[in-house]
Amino acid sequence: MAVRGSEQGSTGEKAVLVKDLSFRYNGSAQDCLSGTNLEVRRGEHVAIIGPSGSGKTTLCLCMAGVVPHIVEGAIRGEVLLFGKPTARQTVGELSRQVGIIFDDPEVQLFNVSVEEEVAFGPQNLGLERDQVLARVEEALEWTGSSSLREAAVNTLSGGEKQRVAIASVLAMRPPLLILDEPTSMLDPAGTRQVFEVLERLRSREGMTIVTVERNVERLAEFAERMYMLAGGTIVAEGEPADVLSRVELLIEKGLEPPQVTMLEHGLRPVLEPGARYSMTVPEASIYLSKFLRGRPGS
Amino acid sequence: MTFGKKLIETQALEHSYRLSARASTTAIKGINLEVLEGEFLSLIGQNGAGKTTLAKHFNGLLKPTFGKVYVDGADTSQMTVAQLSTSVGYVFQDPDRMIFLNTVEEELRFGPSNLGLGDDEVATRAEEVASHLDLREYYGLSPFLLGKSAKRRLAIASVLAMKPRMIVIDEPSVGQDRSQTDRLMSYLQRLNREEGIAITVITHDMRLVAEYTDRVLVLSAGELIFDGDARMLFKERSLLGRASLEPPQITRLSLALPDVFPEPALSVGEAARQIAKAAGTSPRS
Repeated sequence: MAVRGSEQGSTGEKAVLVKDLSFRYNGSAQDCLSGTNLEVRRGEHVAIIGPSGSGKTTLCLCMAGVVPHIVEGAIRGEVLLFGKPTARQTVGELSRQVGIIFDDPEVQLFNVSVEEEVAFGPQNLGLERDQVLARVEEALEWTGSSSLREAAVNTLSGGEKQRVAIASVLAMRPPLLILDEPTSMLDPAGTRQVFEVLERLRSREGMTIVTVERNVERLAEFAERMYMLAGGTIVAEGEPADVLSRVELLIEKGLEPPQVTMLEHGLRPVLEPGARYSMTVPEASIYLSKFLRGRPGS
Repeated sequence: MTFGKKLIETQALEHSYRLSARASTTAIKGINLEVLEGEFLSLIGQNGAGKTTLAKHFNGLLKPTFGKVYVDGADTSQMTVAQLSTSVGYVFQDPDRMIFLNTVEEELRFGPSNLGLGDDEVATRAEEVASHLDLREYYGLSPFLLGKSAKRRLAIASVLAMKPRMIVIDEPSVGQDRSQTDRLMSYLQRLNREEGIAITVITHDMRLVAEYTDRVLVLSAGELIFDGDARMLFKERSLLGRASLEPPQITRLSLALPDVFPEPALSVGEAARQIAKAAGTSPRS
């Protein structure tokens, strides 16, 4: 198990600081984010959960500087990346600090071959040819897509495109990586592989990671802190176990707690659980077998 | 549930994609399969296993390289997608491929009116799917103004409004939160049970496989390696490993506690009843 973020972030510098941020898209009648506050320490893996339309993607766009540089609208409050407001940096400066991966790989793939696609970012960072090739090789390996290197992007399946999109951002090694449902089209093995790579980059290279995900079980395992967004504001934050134990709030907002958490919540009258429920299979099986062993009927 | 006659049959189906003048790659091979009217299927397997390729043969979007596919007894190699569309509706992963009209309402009326139905019936069908998939509030809007999640539901609704005899949905839970996915799946279950519409979902969401579908097809490297129900599948550890599949969390818990669970549990409710029984207490609700 990796070192948890609180110790790692002890330099005090925040990778991301979102201060009282409100945002309304041009032409929209209401704020998409209203008074959002959030912080991510350097080297931390923070998860954001929330129902459809709660502002998760908009928040990602704000943290990556896409808002206000590319997408415009009415903004109040500010976003600081590594201490500097995004509004006062150029797109070029931002692109060296932050990489973003969207749920739909189609929007970020535009080259003919997989190799060109993954090489594009490092080339634009001005790296030497052999460094670019090394980065391409590494990023393809990390995402289990080495065999796709020569393939044409338009012949890939949805899941393969998603791996290549992730590889193309990882090849740039941004200090901050934002992932907006990065594994929506991946199978369980592919999803696990992506999260393991993220964990390696975080613990070995100090990469800061922000993940928006529906798969809360995976987040429970990998994220150090979690924010829950609903209606454009943060409604819960803390360690994943604390946020995910608020089963009734999650369900009210249309979210899906881990199944073992739901089980223990539903069995409250029988189980007498503590303040936190189990989130993983090993936790739940230890807890339940201990409980059942103590019963005369078993 | 009563299953009707054979809706789809594949015989030694193989499909290869051409990569260049000389090279091609085989996506699926040796698929022998029968799907009956009124079945609720899931089609699962790793990325690149051939799920979408197989499903696209059900309505003629793809034609076999070798072997045969019959829909309602007719050989699809002799038929157009338009002819097959009244039998099998297909919802793509990417909704932008399916949306093209000015308003949500027009989009929902388009399919049924092309079937030659009367205006009243067209309106009723559009309203029915709109209310079940939470699209009523967007009726007058341009589909392109909708968020990802609503756009995806619109793509699904526009196919459901045609009430084909089978509906194929590629990844029903993509872009939907838990409650939206459950509303969609319950509606599909109702269409399946009450109107006998066969449903095929292509998915990585094993909770949907466990809770909603009656029959599971597992593809691995282009071959059909399992055809049976979910509970049977989740007992096949080596097969799950080979296809890189992971049962739902609640099923994994039940497999880790074999003393409590003689059979794998498929849902939280099932697991709760079993544990309450083991604890000698009657379950709540």
